[in-house]
Amino acid sequence: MYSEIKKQQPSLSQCSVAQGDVVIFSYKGVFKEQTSSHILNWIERYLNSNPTVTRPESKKIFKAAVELIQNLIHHSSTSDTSFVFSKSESENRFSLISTNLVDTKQSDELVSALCAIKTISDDELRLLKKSVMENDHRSDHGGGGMGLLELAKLSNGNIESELLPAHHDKLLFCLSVHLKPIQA
Amino acid sequence: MDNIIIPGTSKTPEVSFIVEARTLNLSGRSIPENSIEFYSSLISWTDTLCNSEGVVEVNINLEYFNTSSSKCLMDLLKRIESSNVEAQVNWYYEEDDEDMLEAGEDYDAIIDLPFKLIITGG
Repeated sequence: MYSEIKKQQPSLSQCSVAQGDVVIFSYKGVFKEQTSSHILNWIERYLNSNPTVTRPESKKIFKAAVELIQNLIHHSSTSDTSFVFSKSESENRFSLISTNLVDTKQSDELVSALCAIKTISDDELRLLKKSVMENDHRSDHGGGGMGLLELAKLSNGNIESELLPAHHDKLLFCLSVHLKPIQA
Repeated sequence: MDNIIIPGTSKTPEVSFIVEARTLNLSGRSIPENSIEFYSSLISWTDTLCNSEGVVEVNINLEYFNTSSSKCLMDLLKRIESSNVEAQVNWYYEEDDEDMLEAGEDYDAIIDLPFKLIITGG
């Protein structure tokens, strides 16, 4: 069984672009600062030119994109990294999906953090974020682990993850953030 | 001690830290990949300013900031809080931007400085 899993190659299609969702933008490859700038500029232009998205909604989507994409810059240097921006008219939502390779230790930490986030209310989430802000601790990349909390808060807890088998000792971590509403 | 004037970019805020007026103005967006690098000189400048007593006004009028910047803003405000200056923080947020309002409320709750939450037209 293990050898069968190892033979599977990770791909974007394995991750959860929901059936019926329309992909607005996708990128797969190495993420660098310049890549981030191009993608964020593109998303901002798209949102600004879309009259059905209000400014507060647009800001939430953009902020979520910033956190996801900057996380990819910090946590992945391989071409297995990807980002997808999609929308579902039927579900009345936009989705942002990122994928990157993680090792077992990282995957355990992510699963634990996401489980904790999923079980708490919006008010508790805000308190937790405030407590992390207040703490002097910083992660290597400066945020002190606030990225997931911010994504959960922006999406009102509509955050999902999957871990898929990849090559060597790595797993493909897929993180989906769903933001509502969009006006049909 | 010189003023710090930095034009805004698509990822970094417009900065106007003025010695004579003892004002710190940040506006635009703060979403740099490396916020510590961007903010370190601003925090050092703030430390120096706060070594001399007097009034300090902080105006934060940001459209967006990333989580990494939020930690740097916290560092900057904590430096002022722990000094002997008489400070006033003005936190501007766009009408309907509940996230930015909540962020201002959270800083206000954490930092023991007079905070004004000021609504703008967007």
